[in-house]
Amino acid sequence: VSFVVGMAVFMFWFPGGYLPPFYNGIAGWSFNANERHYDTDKRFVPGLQIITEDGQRQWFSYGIISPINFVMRHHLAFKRKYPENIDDIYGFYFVAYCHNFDLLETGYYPNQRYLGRFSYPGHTPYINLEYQNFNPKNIASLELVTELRSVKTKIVEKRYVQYRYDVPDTLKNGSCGQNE
Amino acid sequence: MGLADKMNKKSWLLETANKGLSLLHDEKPIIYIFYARALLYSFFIWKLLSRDYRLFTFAPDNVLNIYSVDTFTAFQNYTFMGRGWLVDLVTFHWVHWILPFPNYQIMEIIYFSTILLCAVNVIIGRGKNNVFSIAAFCLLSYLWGFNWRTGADVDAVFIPLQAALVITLFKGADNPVWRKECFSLKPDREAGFLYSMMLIVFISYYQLSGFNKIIDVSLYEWFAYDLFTQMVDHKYYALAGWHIAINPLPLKIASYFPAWLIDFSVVLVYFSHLTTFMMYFNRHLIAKFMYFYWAFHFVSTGLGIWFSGLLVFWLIFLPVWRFFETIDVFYDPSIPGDKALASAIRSLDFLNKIVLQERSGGFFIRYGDGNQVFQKHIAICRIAWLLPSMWFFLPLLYLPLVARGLSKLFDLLTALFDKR
Repeated sequence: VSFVVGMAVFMFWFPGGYLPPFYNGIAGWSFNANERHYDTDKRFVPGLQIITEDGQRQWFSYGIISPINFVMRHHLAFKRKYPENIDDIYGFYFVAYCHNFDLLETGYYPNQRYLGRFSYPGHTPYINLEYQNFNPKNIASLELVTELRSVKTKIVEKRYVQYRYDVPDTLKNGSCGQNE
Repeated sequence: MGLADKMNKKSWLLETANKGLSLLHDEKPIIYIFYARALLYSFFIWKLLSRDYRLFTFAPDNVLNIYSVDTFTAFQNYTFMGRGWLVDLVTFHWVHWILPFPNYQIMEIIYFSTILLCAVNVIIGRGKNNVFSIAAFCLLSYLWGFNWRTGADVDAVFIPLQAALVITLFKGADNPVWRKECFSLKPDREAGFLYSMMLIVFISYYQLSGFNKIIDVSLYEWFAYDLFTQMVDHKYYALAGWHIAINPLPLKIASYFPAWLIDFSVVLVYFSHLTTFMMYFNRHLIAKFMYFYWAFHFVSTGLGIWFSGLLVFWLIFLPVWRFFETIDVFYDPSIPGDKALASAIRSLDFLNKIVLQERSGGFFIRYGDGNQVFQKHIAICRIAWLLPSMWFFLPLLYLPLVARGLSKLFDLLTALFDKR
């Protein structure tokens, strides 16, 4: 008792208390709407995308790299810490995609490998995306983008590419990272 | 403050502390020990089978070097304690100060061993000197260590991990699932202690979050949170083709209410965080908090945030022993309502857990030990635990408003039949 309660009290008194499995609780949230939130026509939609040799695009669902939950949080922190090695994280994304492709093309995410639709969902669940036409061998690049999209038609009106990673042939034709 | 006031305050504090200590070992049936471990480790089996930790073997070392201190901004930072060396120490990742990260095959062994150990804990128990639960905790900590070093995991997983630590340190009776002692209904101080500790784990999580609501945000921000607009905003994101799934149901339901009321629910959530400690002193509040947080976590699915683990793990407080108890039901055959109720119970009692007895003076139930007697809607709720056909409706019966409505209905019917 004293250990568990003591840790809880310590976490309260210690700013930024964090010692798994103990931590000092969810931070306070705030949300103040601005005019962009009231726009009923358009949204700036951010995310990662995979692009084939012939220019087809698909969202790179965060479910592909589960158990990592906060993909962008991790991505941004990595960019801050290792700005010169940013390709390392994209290489990892691609290898994870390549490794899980057999499952993705059947319409399941890696977290559904064993339990299918009864699996524990992701913290920010992923919509079902079709990857049949996105064989890793045909993937030319991964991009971090923000798209200005129409709410009514989903049509992309503008695309802002923040980063482009060209997939090297050695990764495309390798064994998806296994035994490497 | 006068001396009398000081004395009164001191005695109130002492009284509360004494009550807290006496509640710590408030007896619960032995079966709870089995139930808690079964739910906890089944939960981890479910979670692990839905999280492929072998994926981390594809990551370069620098991708696995993003600890909380790197992830969070100054506002929320874990400057001191989110540091790599400290997290490594408590997650057994210190082995990688010497050894390289596991390759795919070794990780596969670790991953499936953890699942197997969780199954062993469910079926066999904690083992001699808690060896199985210690091993499971070490491996769970190790696997989650990969989450802590890649942008952190969902904070909700701290609850099951702390619960696993509690079970690992627990010294109460433990039996394999094939021993009938495992399902004993005998009241036990250690089982009560485990129950209280699970409560403390939950309270720590929510209560500390509550304190943060005072520290991190101003009172103005409590009332300025525009939840309804945020839900609508997420709907538009979904319509525009976002890759995050948004549950449309919360917004559909919210649309029937004024927006200010939906926004005000945030204040209620903040306030509830600050009052969770009350669950410890008044155990009847557990179900109410559970329903409240189920509702809250359901609403968050409308923002693309799923606290699936918490939705399930609140069931750790399910009084599972009630499924196994036997009760005597007393009814007055001269009262038509009581007679009809007794007849319905007789036809639904497939498990033969209820003994019906005629007795003048109204409807009530009595447990085998003779000490606990319940009337009205509480009696109906307790009977429902023993009737399989009613299990589906059990959660509804305990909804605060339903319980009150049932009580009123019971009073009304009793008065009606009494007049006749």
